[in-house]
Amino acid sequence: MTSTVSHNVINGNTGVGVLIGGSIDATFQNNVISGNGQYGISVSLFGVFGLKVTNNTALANGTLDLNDPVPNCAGSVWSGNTFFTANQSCIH
Amino acid sequence: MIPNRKALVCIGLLVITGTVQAATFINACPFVITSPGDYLLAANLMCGGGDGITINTGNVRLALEGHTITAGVGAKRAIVASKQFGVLQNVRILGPGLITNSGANAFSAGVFLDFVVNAEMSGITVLGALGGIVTGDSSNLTITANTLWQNNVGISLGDAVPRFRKMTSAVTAQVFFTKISAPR
Repeated sequence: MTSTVSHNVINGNTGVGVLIGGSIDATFQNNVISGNGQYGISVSLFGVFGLKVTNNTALANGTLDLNDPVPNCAGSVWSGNTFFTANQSCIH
Repeated sequence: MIPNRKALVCIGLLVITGTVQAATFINACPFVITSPGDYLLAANLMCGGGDGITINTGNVRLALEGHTITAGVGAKRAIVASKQFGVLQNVRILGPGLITNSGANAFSAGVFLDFVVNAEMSGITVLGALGGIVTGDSSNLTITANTLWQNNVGISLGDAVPRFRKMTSAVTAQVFFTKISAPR
């Protein structure tokens, strides 16, 4: 069963804006995630399954705007996002 | 007259069967919700010494009605949806409403869901907590139009495997049965 996280404003948090851990079937769309101290959106090192991150605006976050530590973003689809910095070319 | 009589009979039957239920107003914390229904925050709350509002049954609609829940001394989580065994279903936590810290007092989580299926959180602002919205082992969530500001982590989504707790409970029951059987 899919979870949806949409149209939230996640700004100015001292650590990570959105932290996604473990196995999850979720869609993140149309959120604004800016000015957070570390990552804007970050996936757990343990990876995810069925994650879609689309059409979000993530700007000026401290470490990276978007972060997927899983090689080639396996298990996740990143598309249509507006951002400055990301750690992999599979993040769009 | 006949249509009016029919309407009265219908209303009477609804009341008798318990279909029509008045909302419950929340004026103080800690507050534990143990019965399904509608719950409305009726005042601004200062919650310390543990969790503020705890939901441990399913089919609950909690509306903050524009009020504020402020962390007091020893505050833990402002709103928790969780129960010791099993999975909660159909929980709605609705704004507008503000969950905030006060001075050195902060909530460990603004809204915390654990083993919940089918939940909605919308229109809530969480300010200055350790985690704004935190979920674990929950699925089919709708988290929309919230504002997470000046927390440590805005939104933290954990595993989406609510069936794990059921499996754990079953194993516990099996061990208990074995212990009872051993002296025979």
